[in-house]
Amino acid sequence: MTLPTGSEAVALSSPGRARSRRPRIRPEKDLTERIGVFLCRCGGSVDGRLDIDAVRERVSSMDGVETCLVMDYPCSKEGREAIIGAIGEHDLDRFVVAGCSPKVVDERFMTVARESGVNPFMVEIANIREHCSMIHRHDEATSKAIKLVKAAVSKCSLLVPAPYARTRAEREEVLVYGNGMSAMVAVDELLSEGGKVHLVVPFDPKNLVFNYHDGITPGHLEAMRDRILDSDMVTVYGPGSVHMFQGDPENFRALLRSGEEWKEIGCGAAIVAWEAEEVPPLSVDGVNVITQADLEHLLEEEKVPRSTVMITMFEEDDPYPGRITHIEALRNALRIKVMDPGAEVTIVARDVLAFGMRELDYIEAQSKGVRFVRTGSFPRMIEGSPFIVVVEDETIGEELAIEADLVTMTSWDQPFDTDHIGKVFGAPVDENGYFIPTQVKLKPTASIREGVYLCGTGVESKTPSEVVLEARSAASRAMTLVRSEIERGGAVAEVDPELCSACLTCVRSCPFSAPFIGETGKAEIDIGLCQGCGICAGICPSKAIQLFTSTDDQISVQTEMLTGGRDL
Amino acid sequence: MVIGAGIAGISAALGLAERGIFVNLVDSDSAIGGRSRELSCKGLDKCVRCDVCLATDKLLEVGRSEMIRVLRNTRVKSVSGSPGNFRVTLERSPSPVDEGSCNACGKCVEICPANAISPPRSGIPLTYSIDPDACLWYRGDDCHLCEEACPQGAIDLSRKGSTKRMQVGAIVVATGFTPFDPDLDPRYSHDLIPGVLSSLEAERQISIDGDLVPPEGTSLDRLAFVQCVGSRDLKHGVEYCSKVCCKYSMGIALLLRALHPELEITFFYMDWRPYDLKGEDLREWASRDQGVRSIRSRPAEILPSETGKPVVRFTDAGESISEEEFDMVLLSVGMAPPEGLEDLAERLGLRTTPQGYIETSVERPAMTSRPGIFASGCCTGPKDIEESAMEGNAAAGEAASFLEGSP
Repeated sequence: MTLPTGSEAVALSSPGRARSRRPRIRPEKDLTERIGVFLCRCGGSVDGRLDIDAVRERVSSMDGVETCLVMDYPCSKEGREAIIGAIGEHDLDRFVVAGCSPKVVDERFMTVARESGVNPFMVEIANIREHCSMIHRHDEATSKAIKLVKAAVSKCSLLVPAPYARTRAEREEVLVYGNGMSAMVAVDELLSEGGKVHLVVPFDPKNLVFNYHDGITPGHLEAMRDRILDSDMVTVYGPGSVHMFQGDPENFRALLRSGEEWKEIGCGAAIVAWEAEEVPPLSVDGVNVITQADLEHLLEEEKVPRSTVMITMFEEDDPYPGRITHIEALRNALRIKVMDPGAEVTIVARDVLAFGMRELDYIEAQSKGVRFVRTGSFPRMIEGSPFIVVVEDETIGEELAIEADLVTMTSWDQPFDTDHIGKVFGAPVDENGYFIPTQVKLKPTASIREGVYLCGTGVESKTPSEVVLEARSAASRAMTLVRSEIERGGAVAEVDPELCSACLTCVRSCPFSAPFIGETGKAEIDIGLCQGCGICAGICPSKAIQLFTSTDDQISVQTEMLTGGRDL
Repeated sequence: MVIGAGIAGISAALGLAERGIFVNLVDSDSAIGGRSRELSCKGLDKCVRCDVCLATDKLLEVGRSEMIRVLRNTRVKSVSGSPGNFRVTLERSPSPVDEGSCNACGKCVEICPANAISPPRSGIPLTYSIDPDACLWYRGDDCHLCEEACPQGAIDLSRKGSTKRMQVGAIVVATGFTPFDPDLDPRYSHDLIPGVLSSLEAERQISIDGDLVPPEGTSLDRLAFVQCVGSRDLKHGVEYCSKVCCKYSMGIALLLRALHPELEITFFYMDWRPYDLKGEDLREWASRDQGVRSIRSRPAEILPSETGKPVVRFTDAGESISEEEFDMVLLSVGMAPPEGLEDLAERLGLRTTPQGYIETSVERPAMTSRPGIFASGCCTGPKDIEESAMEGNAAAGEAASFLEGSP
């Protein structure tokens, strides 16, 4: 594979690359270090269970506190308006709300801050409800609430305005890099949602073929492919490859190679739709071993074997074939039985993986006389014509010898090139070469890099219908991202160039590739990529990195207040 | 409008809201979250990424979103009109607690003599609800204690249900599933022999008490899982496999085994079908761990022993009949179509499958037989949290492009 030449690489890293660009800071108030504190009665679930006036009294006298109000519901519309009023009246540049969990209300009070010109990251929430009034006796709750609010006020007094911005993607195009079915389906979904697509395929896209159809109408995928390749909304690069992918959802930039040419494109999101490839099974001397796909071709030519043994496990110590294995086996077994009810078919499996509604095929196969042998050990094959497959049937505890003129074995699914692609897109791969998605269940298809989505059997073994679902889901998420507001900055890390020794520890340890060495030779953080996890801040040997909303000073003053270090 | 506020419905609603489309999220329950609220965290000393806690995060996102209106205790009564302009009549069941003024102070819970009032299970929205089956007033007594105790005046027991009409452009059906009722299979003596629980009851115990609670006077030394209860069972009209049971029972077993190093666990199963092929494998676990056994058999019945403990009667390899006594038996219950789905499908004009789920296409998994109406989650067939969330996303995409009038 050819890498970009010198000048091409320079072009990509030219100032237009926007690597260290800071989000625009909105015009905000000058820092006055005037704090407002708003205590919530929460209709009796705080007030009544602790002495809220005592809390008010203790907090009001703290340095910097300009006003301390006890309110019924700060989170209500009236409450929020009262806070906005107090900010104007007392010229506050930061405030503390004490009430329930920040998980529930932080967004609401950050909005209040934005509306009144206060930096939304200059707001602290103290939880004096769930963590305090609801679980402690009255006097204990009061003294704990005093500590919690004082800690929040102390931290608040040390807050500095974090850089943040709300932007939209500059480009609506979505880059799809893929080698099979999931790429086609993802592009189809993007088009149906009115998107524009850059499609990169590692070979001539006309050669995209689909091995398994799994209930999908025959011809559907092929028609989809042709439609996509003809569409005005899709730019196709093939044979092509992606060599660099930089930036963030506001402005991703990718370096592609298409045929002999290098191209740079911009986009708002990327979908890596990579399929694992089939590795054919080992051949056995004197035994006619083929794959299910081969058998499918035989059946299309109406060559029906008299006796077939389908081995759906691997010789190696791995009981699980991919998710498609048994579905294909059942399908071909049923086809054989329809074409020749007298033909013998035996499926050898440890467990028959007929998930969900596939069970119906399994039931039908049983009723049509397909034999199922369950075993934990790989069968032996004895040469001959016909040859003999010897297998131990666990359910009856006996060894069976089955005459066969054809054996199908399962091919391996193996993702290729994912290591390299993962590095380009910032998506980690596991030891078997599969992409690792982030929270699998609730953010399916999301990678750890915002704006990069994953789908296809390169993530996990799947049936074609599952691939369809996943690809549509990924495309739908990508479209949502390019069409919605993106919030950047806020709780992000910052490097103090005076302290940084450019040791690269942060660069190596960041899971999101946010730190880089800037033009001054010191580390910098790309705010578009930083997720505020704090790993770099914790690991930096020079203590040069701080998180805007959790600096060392802020944490120590909070700890001091909570542990009674002073003034209690 | 999204019908059903479980994982699939919430994913669809959030996806639509993010695109600036206003969503009416309708649920017949008094809180959102669907079945995910009944599940327990499977981690012990470390997170095992069962992601049940993340479901709560999604709920909070719904609570925050200004583009989603949550309509609880609400059912769809009728739908008329045409795709792009549906006229919907919603029926709100009587809910004596006013959502706007209840602040979950808990005074009503303390005073209720019948234990009929409970906090919202998901915490979203933060409003208490009254169980009409337990409430004395609903049962005919003249008890008004909660009304008097509420400092907000939020409770009015005589409040009637109401109907609401609205126009919506598209509908996403996400009404989930009903767990198989193990009482329908009397051979397993659920509710008859102490210690025989459904897996959902077990998850509930674990999420409340942090552990399984053995029947009084016994200890938990021997535990059995019976797989495929209400799945792959033609006798009970369930031909299909429910997909998720191998996975969740493995999660529960790993947790309990870690909690109780001496606990013996036996699995009775037909085929081990782990949803996640990368996860722990039962047979491999059993060969490595002395305390774990896997028996390929569907037990014939569960009988009480002389001491009242459950005895599992089963056929082992070689056709011999065995009986074994356990302290507790967990029945891994499968999924059935949600109650009232057939009725709803008829009102919406949707085709259903012979198994009673909403028919969707393989090529467009969120597309139903009627334009403008989409479906996601377990109301189209059994699936896990991940797949439900994915279908919710896909439904959001389909509904958004339908509303935006894209090709």
